Amino acid sequence: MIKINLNIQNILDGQGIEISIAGMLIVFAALSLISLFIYCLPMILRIFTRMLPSEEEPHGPTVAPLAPDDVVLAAIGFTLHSQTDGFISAE
Amino acid sequence: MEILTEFLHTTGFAMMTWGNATMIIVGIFFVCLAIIKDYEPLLLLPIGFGAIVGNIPAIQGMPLNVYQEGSVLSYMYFGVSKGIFPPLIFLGIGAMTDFSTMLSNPKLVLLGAAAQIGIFLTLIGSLYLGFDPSESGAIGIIGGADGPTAIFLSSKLAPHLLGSIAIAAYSYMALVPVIQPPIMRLLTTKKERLIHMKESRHVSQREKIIFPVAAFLIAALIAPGSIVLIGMLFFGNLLKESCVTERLANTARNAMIDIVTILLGFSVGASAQAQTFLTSQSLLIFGLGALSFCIATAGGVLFAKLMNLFIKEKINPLIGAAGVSAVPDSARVVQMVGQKEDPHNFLLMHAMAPNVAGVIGSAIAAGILWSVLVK
Repeated sequence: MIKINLNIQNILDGQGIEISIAGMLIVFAALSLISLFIYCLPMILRIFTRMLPSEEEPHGPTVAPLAPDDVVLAAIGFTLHSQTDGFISAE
Repeated sequence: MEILTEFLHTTGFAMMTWGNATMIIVGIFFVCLAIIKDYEPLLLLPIGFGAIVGNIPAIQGMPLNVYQEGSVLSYMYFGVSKGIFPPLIFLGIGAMTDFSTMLSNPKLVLLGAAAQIGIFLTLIGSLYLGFDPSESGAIGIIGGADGPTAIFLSSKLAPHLLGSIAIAAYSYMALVPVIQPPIMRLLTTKKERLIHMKESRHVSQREKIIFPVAAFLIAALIAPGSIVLIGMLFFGNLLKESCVTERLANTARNAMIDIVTILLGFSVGASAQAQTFLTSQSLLIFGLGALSFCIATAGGVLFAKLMNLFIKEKINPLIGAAGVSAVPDSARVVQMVGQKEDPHNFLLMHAMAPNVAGVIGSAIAAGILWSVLVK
C-alpha cells in the first residue's frame, strides 16, 4: 500500500521536471524531424525521378492478360455472323 | 460426509471475499458496457470476462490464477508480463494504418507530439503523490491513450502496477467519447470549431513505402528505447504498403491482432484480482490516469490554437484532441464534435493525421521513459 506523501521535494528528488522537459523536447524533436522528412519527401522523389527515370511506380503483383479463348471467339464470331446478311441468305 | 464438508469449504462460495464479489460486479459491468453501450467491445468484453474469471477464489494448492506459477492463466499472462503482446498488437496496427493523411499534411504531426504533454505532467503529479520515479513513468503513460504502450512500459518499469494501469488505460480509451468532447468545447470558440480544412493532396505509393523505413530510422535513432514498438508498427505498415506481402499484412491486421487482443484482454482482466486491484494505489492510478488523459486532450487542442497564430491555412483546433492516439476513436470524436457545429464539416480524415502521429509520439515517449527510468 502506497503511503501518500504530498511533497514538492518528491518531484525534485525524482528529477521529474528535468525528465519531463527533456522528454517533451525529444518527442518534439523526433516528430518534427519526421514531419520535415515528410515535407521534403515529394521533392526528394522528384529529384530522383529526374535523375533516374523509372518506368512506373512500384505496384502490386501483376495479373497476366487473359489468353483469348477459342470457344469464346467462336461464339462471338457466330453472333456477329448471325446478325449479318450472311445468316439471312443462308436461311 | 467429511469429504462433502471438505469439498464445500473449497467452493468459490465459501472462499468468496467482498473484494472478489465487487470485482466480479465490475467485470459484469464492463461486459454490459461492451454489449449494451458498444464501448470498445473488442477490449472491454475480454477484460470484463477476464476479471470475472480472475476473481473466482482459487483452491489452495491448485495453481489457477494468473499469479500462480504453473497455472494455465499464468502462461497466457506471460505475454503481458514480459511485454510480448504489445509489439504484436503494434504490428497489426501498422498493417491496418494508412499514413496518407499524415503524409499529405506533415505539420499536423506536431499535434501528436503536443498531446504527449499529458504523459510528462502526470509523471510530475505521480511523483508529487509519493510514487517512485519508475511507477510515475508507468502511470504517466496512461496519458498516451495507448493500451499496448501502457502495458509494455508498465511491464518494464512497474510490473506490480500492471493490472491497474492496463485497466485504467483501456477504460479511458473506451471512455474517449465521454471524456474528450467537454474539454474540446471548453477550449475552443464556435468560430474555431467551424473552420473547414483544405482537402489533402494525393500521396504516391513510393512515399508510402519510403515513409515507414525512414520514420523508423529517425525515431529509433533518437529514442532507441522505442525500437520494439515503433519497429513493429512500421514493419506492419511496410508489409501493407509494399504490396508484395499482402498475405502477411492480412494475417497481421486480421487473424494475428485478433488472437493477441483476445489473449491480452482476457489475461489483463484476469490479473485484476481484488487482492491486488482494490487498493488505494489503484484509485490514485485511476485518478491520475483521468487527469493525464484530460491534459493530453487539452495539450493537443491548445497547441493547434497556437499553430493557428503562425500559419496561413488555419487548422480546426478540434483535431488537436486526436493527438492522444486512441486510434481511431479520438478521430471519430473530433468528427462528431465538428459535425455538431456544422454537419458539412468533415474532419475525420484530417484528424487521422495527429491520431497516428500520437501513436508514434506515445511510443517514443515510452521509449524515453524506459531508457531514463529503468533501474
